[in-house]
This record gives sequence, structure tokens and C-alpha cells, in this order.
Amino acid sequence: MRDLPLEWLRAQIRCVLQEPFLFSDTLARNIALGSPFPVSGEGRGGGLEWAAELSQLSADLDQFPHGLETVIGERGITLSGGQKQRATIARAVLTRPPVLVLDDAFSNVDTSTEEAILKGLQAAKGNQTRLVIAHRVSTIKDSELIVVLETGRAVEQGTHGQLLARRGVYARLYGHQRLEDDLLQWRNPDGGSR
Amino acid sequence: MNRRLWRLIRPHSTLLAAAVVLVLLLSLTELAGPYFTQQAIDRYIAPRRLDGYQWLAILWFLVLIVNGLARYAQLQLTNVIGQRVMFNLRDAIFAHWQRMGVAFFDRTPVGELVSLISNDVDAINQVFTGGLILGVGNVVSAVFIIVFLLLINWSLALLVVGMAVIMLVAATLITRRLRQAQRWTRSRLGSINGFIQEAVSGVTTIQLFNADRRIRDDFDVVNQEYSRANLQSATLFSIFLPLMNWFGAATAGLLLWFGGGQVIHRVLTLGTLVLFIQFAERLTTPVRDLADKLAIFQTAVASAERIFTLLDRPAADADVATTSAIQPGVLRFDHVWFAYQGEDWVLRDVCFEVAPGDKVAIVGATGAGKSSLISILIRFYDIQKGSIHLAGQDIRGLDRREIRRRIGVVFQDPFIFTGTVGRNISLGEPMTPDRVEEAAAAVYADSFIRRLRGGYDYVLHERGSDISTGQKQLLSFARAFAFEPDILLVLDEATASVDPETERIIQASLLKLVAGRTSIIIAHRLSTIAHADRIIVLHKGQVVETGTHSELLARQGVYSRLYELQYKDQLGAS
Repeated sequence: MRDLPLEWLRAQIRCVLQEPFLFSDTLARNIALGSPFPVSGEGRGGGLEWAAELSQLSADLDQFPHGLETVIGERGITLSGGQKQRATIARAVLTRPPVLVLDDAFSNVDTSTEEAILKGLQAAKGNQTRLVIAHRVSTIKDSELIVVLETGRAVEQGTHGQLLARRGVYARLYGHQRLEDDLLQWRNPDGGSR
Repeated sequence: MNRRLWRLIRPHSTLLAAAVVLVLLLSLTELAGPYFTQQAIDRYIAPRRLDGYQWLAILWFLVLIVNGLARYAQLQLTNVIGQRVMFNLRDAIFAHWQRMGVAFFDRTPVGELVSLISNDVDAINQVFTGGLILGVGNVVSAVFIIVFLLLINWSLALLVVGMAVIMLVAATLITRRLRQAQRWTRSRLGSINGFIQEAVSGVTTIQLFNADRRIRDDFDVVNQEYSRANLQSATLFSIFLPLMNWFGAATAGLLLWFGGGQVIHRVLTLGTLVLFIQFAERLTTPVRDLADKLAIFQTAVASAERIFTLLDRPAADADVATTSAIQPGVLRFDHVWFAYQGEDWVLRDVCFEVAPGDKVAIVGATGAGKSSLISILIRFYDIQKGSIHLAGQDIRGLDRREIRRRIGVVFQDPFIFTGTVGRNISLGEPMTPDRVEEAAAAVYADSFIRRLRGGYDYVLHERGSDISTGQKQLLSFARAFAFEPDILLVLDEATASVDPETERIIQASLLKLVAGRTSIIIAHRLSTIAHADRIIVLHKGQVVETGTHSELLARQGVYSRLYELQYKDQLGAS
């Protein structure tokens, strides 16, 4: 990879970073960052709408005064953590890159929205290679290959089923998250307080 | 508005009056120069006389000394007044902030507060040092000069006054546009700074998305706007200064033209003509500055408005009239509902009681509302529904200071101030060094403090960056112990970064601290939970279970799940 031209390489790999970063600019220009196509006017195409749809941002657009043309950040409206994250997902998928990297991209997105986005990504996959970094097991359990890292080393590799069968680090992590989900779902059988 | 500004100034009215007197004196001595020149020409130079000429020189020299002294005193005085007003204003603002509720600081950006106490206060200072008094001086000088000229030769005086009026109008017009241009320049500078800041913090995103060229294009736009704004200011400036000079020269020319004729016809002496030319020149400065002074005053009024708006915000404790002492007694949460915003309930219908001497542990998953419980109890925020009673009194009727004196809070990531270890324990309360050391020893903080160079006199860095997390926790325990609160609230967050030995000391220290004291512990350590008389389980803002450890485990509800998730692993560790 060190022999490839950097600009070309970066056009092939699109990343959603852990900390979503958006500019104080319109939502459209933020999503189209790094896209060779014009942001507005003739020849814009439906790419932006498609990306917003895929990242589950479309539903939120109605809340914004000018839809995709709304200015965000210091000079405009403030987005929630989840909206920011979904906008950066839209940005990464817009050019349909051969490689897509999602680095803890769903930390501020609720589980059902995350599921919808993952489903959309899967449908639009084609030959795309996806690298998903996640803390939540639910984000990655359908992956073809899961690599478990511990202090910088790959300690386990395999599919969800294979790793569970190994009863190692991954299985422990999975058990722990099951417990956590179980706790959050818990309802008082009597329905009242106390 | 103006009346409030005046109220700021009133305590210094004697000094202000002195400053005005000095300005009058200064204006008078300024008149002396042209007058003495006239006398020199008409009495001595033109008639070619020398006897007595030295007296004129000596007199002029004396006036110059008075002028210098008056100018010194006046500058000194205006600065003293300005500094005193600023000092009092900063004091008032800072004192007011200390009395504001926590919610105020949630909503107000720090930058805004800093700007208020520095920039806005300084703008008001400008009125004293630059604007008000010198403005008065300018007007007085102008009036003196005009009256003086009218007395000597009214026709030439009217010529000078006419030119001065035209100049004033021109200066006001250009200054107004200049101010606008300067405001525009400043706002462009702001956006260029903002742009750079954003481009630097977003540099990974920019490079990953090959957007460097696009960002450079965007930067060109703001860069160009800034340079255009600067040029606009410069253009106005380059019109303003020559125009004013031109008016000055034109007045001198007109005086020479009309006055010259009068001199030749012997209606006017040569000295008087020189006097007129010199005075016309001296009139230029006050006229030119007057427009500027007005603008300074406007800025100050805007700043004063911002400051007064802040000072008018009711302080958090404004509603409490009585400062009745709090009796120890039962603490009762009665159907408490609380939200930080609107109907986003963080606590829902919470009910429980804590009897004096009881140790209660509160447990729950992240976001269950545990910390909010503490915030409302010490009245950082007030609840929306229900009530909290302490010994039968609603805490909303109690003085916050009294509440916080009786209810001690121990944070696990305590704030450490720059200062000695001793002062970080006593927090500046009058407390003997023995008392401080006793408290530290009681919670086993003594041994680590003694190892610091200087012991209790060791000066800690800002936020305690030079001691470990565990040591900070021990310090906060000592702090709480020294204050001997009736009720103790402990946020007991087990921290990963503490070594087993320190963890052992912290656990022992914590148990010592809560021993024999009414305590509510937001617990994360199994050891603290195990020592509690009762455990209250919070789940999504509601109390779902209460009981002892074994009772709750048997219920197979939230607590048993929490235990599986968070506490079970600690069995081996502790």
C-alpha cells in the first residue's frame, strides 16, 4: 500500500471515524466532502438523497429548516450526536467506495436504527469490502470474519458461531453484553415504583 | 440605563469633579501658546523692542510647567477612576456568579463569561480613560477658543467656526463609515480564525476525503473577504486624514487671504493673524476626535447593557428568606420527579426514607439517575414535582449554604485547587492545622501526605496533576471528614487506575468515613454495598427494589442482574 498514490488510495477507502467531524457548512456540502460531483445545481443527481436514506438521516431532514441545505455547526443548528454520526456515514457511503471502514460508528445510534443502517449497507454492498470496528457485539455478529483484539494482538478469529464455540474472550464479551441488554430491557413485574 | 451607569460612577464623583477641573485648567493653558505668540509679535517683534521680552518668555515657560503638571494629574486621575470602576464591576460580576445556580453554568459558555468580565468591563473603562473626560475637555477647549476668537475679531472668528462645522460634519460621516468598516473587518477576522480552527481540528477528515483542495478554495474566499474588508478601512482612512489636513490648510489659507488684507489695511495686527491661524489649527483636533469619542461611548453603553443583564439575573439563593438552622432528622424523598429539561424525566416518583445514622447504598446501571439524586439533594437543581424533606422541613425552604454545610458530598474525582494540601482539606475554612491532620489521619490519608515534600504545606498543582487518582480520593475523604457533616453523600466509583494496595486503603478509609454517620452511598464497590444497612435499586429513574444484599439477590430482579454484571467480578479482586 505504501507504493500506491495517496490520493487514489484515499478515494478507494472511505472511513467513518470514531469522533464524527462536521464543518460549519450546509449538510449537503458536508456529505459531499470528497465527492467529485457537484453539490448543487444540474448534474447533482440523487446521490445525496440516496446516501441520506441509507444512513437513516432522511427522516430527520424534515426537522431542519432547509433540509439538506441547512447550515449546521456554530453558524447554524446543532445536530445531536447520533445525527452527526449518521451524517458522517452518509459522507462515507456517497461515492460507493470499494472499501468502507466503520470505526465505532454506531456509538450514538440506537440499536434499531443501527440495524436499519446495517441492513441498507448489506443491500448496497456489491463487491464492497467492509471493515467494522465495534464495541457492541450486535454490530458485528453477522460479519464473515470477526477478529478479536486484545492489547494489540489478534487473539481470536472466526465467525460469530465459531467464536462462541471456543468459549474464549469473544464468548465472555458476548455473555456480558447479553446481561447488560437484559438489564436495560428489564421491567418491573408489578409495574409500579418501589 | 444611563442612570445605572451613573450609579457606577457616583462613588467616584469627587475624583471625577477634580478631573473635570483639571481638564478646564488644561484647556485654559492650551490657549496660552497662541496668545503669547501674538503678544510676542505685536509688542516686541514688530515694533523691534527688547525690554521686557524676557518676562514674556518666563511667563510662557511657567504656563508650560502648569500645563505639563495638569496633564500628568489629569491622566493619572482618569486612570485611577477607570481602574476603580473596573475593580468594583469585576468584583460585583464575580460575586454574582458565585451565587448563580449550577443550571446557569450549564447553559452559558465559558468564553462568554470570560469575555464579559474582561472585554465588556474594559469597554466601560474606555469611557473614563479615553472618552468621557477627554470628550468634555475637547468641547471645553473648542468653546474657549471660539469665544476668545469672537471677542478679538468676529468676522475672522465666524470664518473659523464655519470651517469647523463643515469639518465636524465631514468627520462624523466618515467616522461612522469607518466604524462600520472596522466592525466588518473584525467579523471577517473572526471567521478566518474560526475557519482555521475548524480546518485544523478536522484535518484527518479533510485528508481522508481528499478534500484539501476544496478546503483551500474555501479558505481563499474568507481570506479574500478579510483582505477586502481591511482595504476598505484603509481607503476610508486614507480619505479621512488628508481631508482633515486639507480642511486645516484651507482654513489657514482663507485666514491668510482675508486676514492678510486686514493686516495691510491696518485693521488687524500681524500677531492677531498668527493667533487666528494657530487657534484654527488647535480646533482641528477636538473636532476630529469628537466623532470618535461618541463611538466609544456607544460601545460602552452596549457593554454596560450586557453586564447589567447579567447582574439582574436572580441569584440561585434569592428566594430563601430564612437561614434557619437544620436539625438532624429523617431525610425523606416524597414522590420526587425531576428533569433537567422539559418532560425528560430523569427521576420518576422516587420515594424513600433515611433515618439518622442509617447507611443506604444506591445502585443502578449507568443512566439510572443516581448522580441526579445527589444533585437535587444538595440543591444544584430543584425538583419539579414532589418534595424532599429533612427533619420535617422542605429543603427548598432551606438556605443552600446551610444545606451544603450539613450535607457533605464526596466525589471520587474531586476537584483539587492549586494550593497546599492543608488548604485543599480545609478549603479555606478556619480550621486548626491539628484538625486538618486529625481528619487526614482518620481516613488513612496521613501517610501519603507525609511522604510529599513539605507534607501538609506541599503545594498541589492545578487539578492535582501531581498526585495519583487514589490519593485525590483520599484527600476528598479527609475533606469530608474535617467538615463533620450530619449527612454524607458519597459517589463511590471504583476506578480502574488504582493499584490493589491503594484500593485496599480507599475501601478502609471509606468505611471509616461513613461509620456512625447518616450516609447515602452511590455505590460501585461490593465492599461498600455489603456494609450498607439497606440497598435501594434505581432503574430508569425509578426505585424498583429495596432491601439487603441477600434479600435482593433472592428476588432475581434488577439487583441480581447488576450483581452478575458489575459486582461479582470484584469478589476475587477485593
